[in-house]
Amino acid sequence: MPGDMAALFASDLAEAGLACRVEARERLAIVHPEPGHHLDVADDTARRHVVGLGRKRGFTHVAIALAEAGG
Amino acid sequence: MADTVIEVCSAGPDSLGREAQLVQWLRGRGSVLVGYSGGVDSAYLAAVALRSLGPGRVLAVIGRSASYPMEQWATARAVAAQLSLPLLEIDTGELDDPRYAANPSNRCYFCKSTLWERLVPVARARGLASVIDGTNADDVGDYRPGARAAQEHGVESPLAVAGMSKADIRERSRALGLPTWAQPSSPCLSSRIPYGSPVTVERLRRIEAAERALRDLGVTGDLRVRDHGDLARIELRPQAIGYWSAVDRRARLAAAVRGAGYEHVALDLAGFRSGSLNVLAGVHAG
Repeated sequence: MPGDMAALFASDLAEAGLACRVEARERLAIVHPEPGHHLDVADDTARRHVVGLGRKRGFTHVAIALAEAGG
Repeated sequence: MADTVIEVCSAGPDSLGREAQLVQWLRGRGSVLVGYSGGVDSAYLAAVALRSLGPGRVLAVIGRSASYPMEQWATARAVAAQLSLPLLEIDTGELDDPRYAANPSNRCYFCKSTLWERLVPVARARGLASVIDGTNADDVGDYRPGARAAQEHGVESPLAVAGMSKADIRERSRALGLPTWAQPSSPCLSSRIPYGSPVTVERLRRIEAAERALRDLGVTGDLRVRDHGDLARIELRPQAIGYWSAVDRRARLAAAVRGAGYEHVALDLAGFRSGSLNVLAGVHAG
């Protein structure tokens, strides 16, 4: 159930300090950070952690939405 | 570029010996038609064939279609001109085959079947003894339904026979002065569309435009724009993600890809993975 996976993944990310919405497209997760929150994409460790959390929830790919303003 | 250097450094100590085996194999055939894309493997194969057999016994053939990137086509022509390689271009039109356009996980089988159905008669008509492709030793264990089409049409893969890996080929290409030696791998544009999602000319053009826009921004090395309908997912080299993650650069990435026609843009956090969409579809080697 991609929707359930997304909700659980979003919950994991919130626990890790990233408030966000997760959009599931089959086994691809798109992370949309809430306003005022951002993932430090430049940090390899942080990025790998997020990908690892996603994989634990069954996603094969995790991507971060690039907003109009580059968020 | 750093990835490429690492790959070349991992070439075996006897790449020259394997090249000698390749030359021996080619001389044993006497004359060849090379399925030629201008990529690292087929450019090297065509160059060695030309050196081994001479221009009257080698014909490189490009199969043109909407899934063949224009940039790759330009490279293929430039390399052929540099080598004085006899070259023929043929339209393949695999998108006209609904089995291909439906984009099943064995899509490459239908593409390569179309390609070899056109190229094998050319070789026969010109009296060329063998039709060969650029499959290398690293490719052998991968999930490659196109290899079955090659087998069915009697196409041979001398790079694999000689045991030449991608790293060997890059190393020997550099030694031979081929401009392709450090070129990123560039599979067909259809490989950017998840299996089961139809391949159309419009989608292929959009992918190509997005990747070109990213190159124009300065993205180098491995790059893929994966087409998920209204969403483009960008895969960059993992080492490049840090650079492109600065807020202003992310905005430029997003604007470039939106300019190509996508509504939504996302950056893959794991970065470029060869066969990424095989993973998404649960397709495995073997």
